[in-house]
Amino acid sequence: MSTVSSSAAAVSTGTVTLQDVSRWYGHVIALNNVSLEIKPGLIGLLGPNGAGKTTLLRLITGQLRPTTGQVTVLGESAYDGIAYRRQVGYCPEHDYFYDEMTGFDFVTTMTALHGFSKSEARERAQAALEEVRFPLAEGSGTKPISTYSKGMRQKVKVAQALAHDPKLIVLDEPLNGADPLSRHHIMELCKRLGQRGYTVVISSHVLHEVEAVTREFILIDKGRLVAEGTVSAIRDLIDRHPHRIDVVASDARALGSVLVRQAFTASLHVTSERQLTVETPRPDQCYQGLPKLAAEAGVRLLGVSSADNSLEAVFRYLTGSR
Amino acid sequence: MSIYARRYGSYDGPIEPESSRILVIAETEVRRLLAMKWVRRLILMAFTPTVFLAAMLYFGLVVKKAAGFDPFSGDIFVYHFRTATWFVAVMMAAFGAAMIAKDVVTRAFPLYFTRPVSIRSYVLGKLAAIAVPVLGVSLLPGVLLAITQWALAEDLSLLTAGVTLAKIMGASVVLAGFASTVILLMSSLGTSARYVGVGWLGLFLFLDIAYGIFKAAMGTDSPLLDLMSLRQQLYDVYDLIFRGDSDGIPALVSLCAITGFCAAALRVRILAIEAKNR
Amino acid sequence: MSALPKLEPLLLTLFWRRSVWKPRSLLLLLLVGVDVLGAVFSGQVAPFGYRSAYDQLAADAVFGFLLPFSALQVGTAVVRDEVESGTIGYLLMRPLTRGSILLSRFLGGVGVVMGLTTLALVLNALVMGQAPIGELPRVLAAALLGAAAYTAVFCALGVVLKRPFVVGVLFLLFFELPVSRLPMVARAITIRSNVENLAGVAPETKTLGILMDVQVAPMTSFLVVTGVLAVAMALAVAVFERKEYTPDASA
Repeated sequence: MSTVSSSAAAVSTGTVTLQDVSRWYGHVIALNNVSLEIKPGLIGLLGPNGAGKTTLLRLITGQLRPTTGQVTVLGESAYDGIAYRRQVGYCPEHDYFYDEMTGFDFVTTMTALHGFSKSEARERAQAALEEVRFPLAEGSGTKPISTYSKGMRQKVKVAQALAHDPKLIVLDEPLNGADPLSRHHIMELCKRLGQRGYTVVISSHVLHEVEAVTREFILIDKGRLVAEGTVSAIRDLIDRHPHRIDVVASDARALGSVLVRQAFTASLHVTSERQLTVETPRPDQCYQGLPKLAAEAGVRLLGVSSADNSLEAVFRYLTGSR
Repeated sequence: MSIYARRYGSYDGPIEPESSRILVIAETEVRRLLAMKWVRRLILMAFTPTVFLAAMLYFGLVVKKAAGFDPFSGDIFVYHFRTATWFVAVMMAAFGAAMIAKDVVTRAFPLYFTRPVSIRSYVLGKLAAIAVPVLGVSLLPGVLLAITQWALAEDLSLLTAGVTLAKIMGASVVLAGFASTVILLMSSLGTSARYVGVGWLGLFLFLDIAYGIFKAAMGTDSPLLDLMSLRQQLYDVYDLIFRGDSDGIPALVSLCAITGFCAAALRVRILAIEAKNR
Repeated sequence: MSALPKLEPLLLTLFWRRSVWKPRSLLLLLLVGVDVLGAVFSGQVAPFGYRSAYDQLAADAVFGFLLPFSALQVGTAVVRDEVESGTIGYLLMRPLTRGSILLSRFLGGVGVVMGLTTLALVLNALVMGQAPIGELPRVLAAALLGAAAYTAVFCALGVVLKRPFVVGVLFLLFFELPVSRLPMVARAITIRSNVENLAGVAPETKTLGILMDVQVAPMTSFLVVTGVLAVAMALAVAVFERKEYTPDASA
């Protein structure tokens, strides 16, 4: 299922559509002419610090008005629309709370502001807190938020974003401060929601954790949309750049002498007696040909791997960071 | 590679004395305060009455002590300090109130006290920081007035000018010391700077209103009754310093006692907060 | 956004929960306590210029201090509290118009100010035993109008400015309080003087004699105070609907 599409069509079917959106803070540009469409599913929003992730999320949730362009969420203008907000859940990056309230009270109040009755809001708050594994039964529900640990605050923030059952869930760095078990659980929850047809947008800098639950990404850097789509699609787009394949063999030099004659090999580096790195613009041919070539050379193939297949490598390549 | 190879070893060089830490705290806070445009605006606004008083000095000379106003008496400084008192009241409510409250609410105490910074240094640093804008609205315009007065005088006596400057400094120290210590104590008691600010204004204005009501009801004008109002106590001290009015002695004693009490209470309060944060 | 703002009871109670049910709210009650203490000790003699000691206490302590300063505290918090704590985002993300959010919180603020003022005025009347009980509704109605006008002004400052408290203190100390005791009709431009006039507790004669005796008609006072209220609220709503409130929006 393709969840992200770069051309914001005139007749949009996406949950969120950004058309030529730019956002300036005084003389600083935070987002530069971004057009994209987000469809149901789980999407990871990635980018280095200061890339414009939070600005993009604030534009989507109607907290900021675009300087130019248009942001449409569920058919309404994000900044001016009201009714669509019933279908949006937002978890901010920072810990903003009514500190004197208990976690349960906070989620209940935030849910009731969506128009639910008090009892319905309570039930939903309880369910949402249980869903994020907030330790309600251990008495944390009766303590003020000011006494909570970072991880518990994170759970409360996520719970208030889910309790009213929104169609669009926007989570800004939801894994910050959560312990490993909670991180895993939150990501699994997001994955399930994405599979159920909700639109879940997660911004994060923990690439491998996001990569573990979705293959759909939006990559931004310096306010510009760098890439979008699945990791493999993005990888295909950048295949003009040679793909690095690390090979471990019984005799790296002998294997290298065979590989260097192949058309798919752009360059080759023997790094040790048993290790070599091939750079190739056609990785599929290289993977297919390696066992046969090793046999011809009388070399035992011990391992083949490519760091370039990981999201981090794609990210590093696209953002130009080392 | 060992981290020590990067020369993160222990430092054997000279260490600055304790007083340097007071200056670090004060300098940081003063920079923060002066970066706020409303602090700068208030200091500038405090010069408006000074300009008016300087004009009074000039025209007072022209009309030759008209309407009983002697341009070379201390009256001009009494008027100056009375207006400065109100600017200081605003400054304390608006900016002094956050001085410790923000450290309490952001739990910044460990940042100070896990370093070799004593409570005395912390308090003195904060005190010095808040005193700077107070002196900016009291001492600085006062000195300018004194220079104007000296320049317009016929005898150009340096001795008289020196005595006047000493008086101005004395009045400024009383005002700055009292206001800074009281607001710091109040600031350490709360977490919301706005509530602390309203509390300070409550103390300052409400006691004054109550004093006005009592004075009217009792129909007397006693220096002891003046002790009800913080504003009136300050006014009495200005009268004592610039007019030699001995009725201001109880007020001076009272202000010194309040300042001392607040300083002691502040120390106890910060010890308590630090212990709680530990 | 053009829909008429309406009261959201939950937002009103949320405001009260945050601003009233806290230990620091005792400070505001303490101010009422000091006022009542003034009532206990101020005696029964009407000072020069006032009809009664009750009138003086109402004019000086309640309308001259308690009402405007509690309105300063509460009014500036209507929007600024949420912005400073970063929680404004939660409210703006809910399916409520910005006008409704502002109106509900404003009414919550007026409720707090009015509660304190009513407490002080009624306790003063009971303690002093000389208040014209029959006139109390008039005094309270004027106080309500004053509470709404002051809260609206400070609420508007909180919507427009980053540091509304500083401007609010300057407004009270250097405009409202001194100008309301100025000679002639100049004092009629202050909220305090008009509220005193509506309540019927304004000093009849001021220190400068005949110059002070210009009386302002109650209807004029009513129009001035309601005018201030309407203009301040219209400004607050207009700016609140357009302004972006994020913790680092100015970055």
